[in-house]
Amino acid sequence: MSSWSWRLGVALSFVALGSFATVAGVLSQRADRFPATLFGAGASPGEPTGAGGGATGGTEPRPSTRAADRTIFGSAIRGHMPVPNGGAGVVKATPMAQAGPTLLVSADAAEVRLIDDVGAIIHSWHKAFDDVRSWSGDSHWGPDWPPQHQGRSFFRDARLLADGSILALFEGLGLVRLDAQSRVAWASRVGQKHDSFDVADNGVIYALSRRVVTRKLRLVSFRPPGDRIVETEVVVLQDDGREVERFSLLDALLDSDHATLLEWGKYADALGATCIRLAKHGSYRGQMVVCFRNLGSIAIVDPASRRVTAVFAGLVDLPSFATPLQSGRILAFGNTSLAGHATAVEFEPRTQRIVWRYPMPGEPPLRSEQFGMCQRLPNDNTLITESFSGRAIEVTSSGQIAWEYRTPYRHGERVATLFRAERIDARALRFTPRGSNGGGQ
Amino acid sequence: MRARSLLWLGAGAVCVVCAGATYGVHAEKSGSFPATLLVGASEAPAPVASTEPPWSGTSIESLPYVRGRIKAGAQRPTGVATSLPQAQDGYNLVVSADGTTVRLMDLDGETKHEWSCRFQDVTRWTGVSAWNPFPPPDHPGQTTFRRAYLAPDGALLAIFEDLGLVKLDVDSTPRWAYRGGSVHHALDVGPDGTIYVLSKRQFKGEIGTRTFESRGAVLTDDELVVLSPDGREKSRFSILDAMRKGGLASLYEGAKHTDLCHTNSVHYVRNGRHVGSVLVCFRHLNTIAMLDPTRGVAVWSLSGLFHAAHEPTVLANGNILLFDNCGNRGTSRVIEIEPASQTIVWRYPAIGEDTIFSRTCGTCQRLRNGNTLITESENGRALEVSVEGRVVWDWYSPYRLENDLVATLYDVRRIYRDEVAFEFNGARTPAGERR
Repeated sequence: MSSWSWRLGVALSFVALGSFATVAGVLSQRADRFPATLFGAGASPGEPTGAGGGATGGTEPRPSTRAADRTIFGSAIRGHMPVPNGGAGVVKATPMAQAGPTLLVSADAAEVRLIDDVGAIIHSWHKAFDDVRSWSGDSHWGPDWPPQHQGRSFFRDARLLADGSILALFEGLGLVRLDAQSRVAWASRVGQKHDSFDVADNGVIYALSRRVVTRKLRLVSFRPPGDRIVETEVVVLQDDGREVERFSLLDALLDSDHATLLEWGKYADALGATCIRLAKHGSYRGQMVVCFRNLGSIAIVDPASRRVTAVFAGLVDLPSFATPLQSGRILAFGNTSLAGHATAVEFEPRTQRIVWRYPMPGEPPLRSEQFGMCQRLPNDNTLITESFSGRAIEVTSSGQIAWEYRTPYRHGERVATLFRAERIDARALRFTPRGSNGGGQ
Repeated sequence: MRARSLLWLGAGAVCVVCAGATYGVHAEKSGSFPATLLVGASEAPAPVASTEPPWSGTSIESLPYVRGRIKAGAQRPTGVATSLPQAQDGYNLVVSADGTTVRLMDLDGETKHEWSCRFQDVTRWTGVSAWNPFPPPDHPGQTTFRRAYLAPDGALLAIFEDLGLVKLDVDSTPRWAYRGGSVHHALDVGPDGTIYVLSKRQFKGEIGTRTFESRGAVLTDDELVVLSPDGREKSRFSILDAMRKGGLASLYEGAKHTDLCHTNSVHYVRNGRHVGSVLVCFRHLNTIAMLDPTRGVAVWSLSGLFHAAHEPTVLANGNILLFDNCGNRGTSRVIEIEPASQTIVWRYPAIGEDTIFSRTCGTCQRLRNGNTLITESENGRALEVSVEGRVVWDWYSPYRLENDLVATLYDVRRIYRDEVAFEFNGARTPAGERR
């Protein structure tokens, strides 16, 4: 054999070997087998990143910090939209607006701000993650605590309590209670708390927590790659932060008559649980309203039986927020999906009749790919948070904009995501805000 | 020297393998070449199915029922196995996959009347052929009736699956035949004689801002067609458009098949809050929905309580009865749902009772005496059960296909004696021979 033939044969063999190895690599990634497992797991194709996505690294309930860094809250989630032209702060205020300060939770910093009706900061709470030292509870992160991901840098959600303290959520890490002077009252790191929590009248806290586990789902045909699935739990805490109980939302669905809903599963985070709210009125009183964003559904969960008791699918695209109203109806916020724009919807749960919607045809569309929330106010207006745009609008029942706020906060060169704008009933507060310091405006 | 060369070659080969595998893993993660060429089954977020024509009959995706799945065997019973006095009096209208014959039987299993019509004997079709070549030469819909509706005067409406709807008079003479696209699965008739039937259309894959990836396969959307009693088309509308108008299009986010929703049932609602609406069932979306046929809008839907279900009907008390196939789990059930609370108020079988299973098809009917007539289609069995779950009547179909397969029993419907005002054309044996 000539030397050239020999070299050509070797070269072709190498090409064939490389091609074979490439195909094997593709297939191993699909089957989640060696050698793909060496590279750590990424999100399934098409899986939402950020709060709805969750950590998918590792097959055990303890993902590596590296994997978590990659999958929890990428920078694009904290700042998504380019900075628009025009003013910032309160850009519209009319007499139709509901009076009262507004609580803002923004992705630019671990700070919660209370602004008055013209946008001046009248109080703020802030706490650097590293300054919180007295974490209680067993961390899901184990020796990787404290993990080095972006959840340290901002609050995802917050709730103002009557005494001026706040509960604030470091995304994927834990819940802290800060007093009016931002001193830490307690900090709970049980699980990877994320996205949302709610507080009952007796002070008991219901929070969403998640971890990645390997389990085969019974009853349904949906199987995520490698049977690795995000197990979302409801964690119940006393008002001092101690854990009372927890239960799996996956099991709550699988144990119910609505288990078939999981046939729509597409991602490792099959549910995409993004919001939890307690029903204090109506036929679902004592139960919880939970958004399953990745199933396009809003579910009613009974914490006593730990089962899903009702499901509302199709009414709201990619629901990120739902809250029960005094009337027994449900107000929900759905993100941009098949409809092409985001929507706030109020519906009657027993008949599933939509009784109010914003925007109506002809009104300017809402743009929100993720997050977003809405709040029904005492004057029957609705305060809507358009998160990625960093915009909050108060609309009347007829769809007129009564108040509008555009966040002045930035994450790098982008508009900092505005997770929450909540109008506060000042009469219910038993503390005096420090007053305007003009910061951030 | 040779050993050294081999060592270098081996090292090079290892490097090539490692580099190739690494690239392959990352190509799959990022969805880039060559992963895009390897269309596999492990990830199917978008509707994907074979590129076979919709009538290929080989793909459960494209023709989601089969004429027969179960071997009969020598031990299998035929005919009436149970007949108790508690059974609802009347006849049974039997639609079976063994041929284009519909039979009316008494409760002893004796055929009292039958309608029969070969596809090629129907020559005058109306309606526009929307997209299928017509008639396709080997379409299985030519060989069976999928569903039938009996009028009191003995006239029969029957569906050649995917091909058309034909009206036969009492002696099986075709009165009219409606093509209208791809008529399929189910029909119902309103109190004024208006006919509601399903049809199918090609779908480009765009819903709002979302485009479904079909990878070359034909995507289909269903239509509801409204016909006058004499077979003239009054209106038709896309069910997808109706869902979109009703603000329910996001249910299609769960679509995983080329036949996006696979509508399989039509029921004209005579009771409850939605009188005048049409209740349909989307097998592939695990959803039932109420359509307002006058406006072409979906007004209500319910999901999650059932899997791959069939035949929802609104009962006199406003509840909904349906055949829940439960996917491919090995047991099916019939459930009655209280729609406002989304609770299951009755089910058969309850725990410890006899099992039923039909992976595809399946029907149910609440009878006047409160019993429920169930068609366990693939098993070729119909059974009537009491409220307490007792089997008061059951019948095993004697009809077979080639290879000793039990012919799928598409529907068994109880017809009350006061709903029959025509003379029977004579009793026949199950084999079709006149006695």
